[in-house]
Amino acid sequence: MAGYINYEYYLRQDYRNLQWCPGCGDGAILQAFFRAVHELGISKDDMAVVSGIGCSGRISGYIDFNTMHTTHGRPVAFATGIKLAAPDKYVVVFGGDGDQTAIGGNHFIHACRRNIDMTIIVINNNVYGMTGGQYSPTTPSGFKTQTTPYGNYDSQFDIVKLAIGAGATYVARESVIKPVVLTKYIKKALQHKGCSVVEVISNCHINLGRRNKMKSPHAVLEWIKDHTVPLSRANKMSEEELAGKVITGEFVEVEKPEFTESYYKLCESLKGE
Amino acid sequence: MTDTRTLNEKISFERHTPKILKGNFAASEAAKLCKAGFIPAYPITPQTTIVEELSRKVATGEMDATYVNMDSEHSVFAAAMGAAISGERVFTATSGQGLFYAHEVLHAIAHFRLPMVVCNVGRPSIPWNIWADQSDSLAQRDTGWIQLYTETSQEVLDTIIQGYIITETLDIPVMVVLDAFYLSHTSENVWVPEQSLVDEFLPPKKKKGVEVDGYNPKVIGGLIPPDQYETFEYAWWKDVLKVEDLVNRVGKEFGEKFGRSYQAVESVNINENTKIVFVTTSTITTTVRGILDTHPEVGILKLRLIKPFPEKSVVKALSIVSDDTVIAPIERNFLGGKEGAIIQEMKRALYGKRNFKMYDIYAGMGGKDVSPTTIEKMIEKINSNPDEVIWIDFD
Ligand SMILES: Cc1ncc(C[n+]2csc(CCOP(=O)(O)OP(=O)(O)O)c2C)c(N)n1
Ligand code: SF4
Ligand SMILES: [Mg+2]
Repeated sequence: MAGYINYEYYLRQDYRNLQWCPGCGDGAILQAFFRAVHELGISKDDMAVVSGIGCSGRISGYIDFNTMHTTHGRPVAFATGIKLAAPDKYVVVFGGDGDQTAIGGNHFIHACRRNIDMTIIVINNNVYGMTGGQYSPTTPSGFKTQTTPYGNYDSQFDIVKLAIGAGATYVARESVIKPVVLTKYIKKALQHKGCSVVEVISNCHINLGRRNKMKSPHAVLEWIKDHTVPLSRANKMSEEELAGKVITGEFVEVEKPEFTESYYKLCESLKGE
Repeated sequence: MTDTRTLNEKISFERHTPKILKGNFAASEAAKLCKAGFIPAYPITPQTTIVEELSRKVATGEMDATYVNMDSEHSVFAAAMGAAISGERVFTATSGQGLFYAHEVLHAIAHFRLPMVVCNVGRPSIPWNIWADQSDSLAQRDTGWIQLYTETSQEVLDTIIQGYIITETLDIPVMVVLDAFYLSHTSENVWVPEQSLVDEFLPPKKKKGVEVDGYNPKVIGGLIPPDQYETFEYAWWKDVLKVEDLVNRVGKEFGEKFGRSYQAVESVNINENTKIVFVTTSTITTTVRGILDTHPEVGILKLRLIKPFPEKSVVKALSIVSDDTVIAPIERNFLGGKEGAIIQEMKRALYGKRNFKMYDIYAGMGGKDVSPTTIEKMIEKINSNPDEVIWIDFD
């Protein structure tokens, strides 16, 4: 099914005013998502897309699926309700690094722990983009933001490790500079039964790059390129060589009982008792 | 009362510097002048520049405080509570969805009787909207916080200073409410007092012996059995009854010191000939002031203190008008009721004392502009004997 994609088909025709800054990485992620859905041949009516609040959260407003634009940090909890009420639907969550690891961190880890069947795409641009560039739990050390004007002194979450530690059964990370690989991971995540997490490293040149000597989208993409190492190469590198680098690739792909299925199985077994 | 003299170029205030400040920057300037020692923060439009500016002030040493970025408003208010229990003077700010999210901790802060001043830049909930609306703060009326609404950047600055006296006198937290954008992001003349003047008015926070103290350990919180629980509420209620007088007294003393005095309510052009009294809050008040020249029959009852509701001041302000005067609250809030929040409070205050004809006017929600023309439309509408509840742009 690869080849020509009619993006118009996936975009909401009555909402054509995409409010993203030109060059924002979110567009590339949306394109990879459309490609994944198209190549898998999933009907858009069979998919619920839930997003939180943030530039990344705007996705649900732009696309012509069953969508819900929820409150900041809560899309996973909303999606849990959707999955349990409509277990045969694909459920996808889009959330930013802030949405998923700051205000909504609790929902994120619990979805991973109970291995509920949904695909969580965390758009990590290392900042609160929408509110004008405040530091997030993934802002690198030393980076200037509106709330760390003299450099970030706080530590970071590694979203991949967080997801693995919490129990997600498919975990991958890629950046917007490799949309083809990203598409592949999103496809695998959608096909995987259980809680899948795909972290996408994205560029916010407007609210992060600009304050850190990377004014253009291109400059942030170069920075992402310099700081990411594919897993296959990382395996051959020493700890010193890997310091400050972010590893991309697929980290976990295992089978474990899925929450919705276990729940309905239990209900079934108790019938007539 | 809001002193319109601040808008007059010819007037100057001693030991003050005139500056041009947006409401949000007046708020951060006030937090600095009050020497807030602890500021937990989390961004939300349109509050964000308050905490961003404080972040800058602390980082550059312009202000000696601990500033901490938290992961959500729930954590912000919890951290605020922790610091207040330890005896710090606390300041923070939020808005809309952030205030809704903090709701649980708002109760806890008030029930623990913790003093602090917090700004809320009002915006509504769903559908998503970031513009001026008071349903967020008015929905928190029952959390036990004192609520003061502000009309100008000057009033924001002055109210925060007064707020610390009020909160530290009664150990009841104070929320200072700003209108989104119309106030938070609009530049105005502000007379900023010298630090020494504020220091003379607002002494450093005194410890009361109930704070966390390593040398004198104590249990804070804990389960309270049924036979004791009401003891706390009763003591609190006694103090709630003092708020209105205290707000008036502090506003007067502030005037003696700074040259600008304030009260719980302000009455403008209310006299024997007044036919319509608009009950206003925040920036809509300024718009109504603008039509008084062409409508001498109109008066304004501006509410500065909303919680606890300044019953005595309201009754007093209206004592001069005749019984056929129309009372018309303007509601920039919708809380799912037939009537808005302000008229409910007004009816409660006037019950058994006066029996006015009241029209409730829903207007300006979600940031919709309430212009002088809108106010004139309200007057026309009222004069045509409408239903009791008016949606100004719908009927
Ligand atoms: C309860 C609550 N608090 C604060 C906000 C304000 N807010 C909107 S988006 C956002 C941060 C978004 O950052 P992120 O999730 O990383 O998304 P991005 O914009 O970077 O894609 C915040 C704090 C809100 N909408 N709701
Ligand atoms: S602020 Fe950043 S994340 Fe938001 S649209 Fe602009 S570039 Fe993208
Ligand atoms: Mg982000």
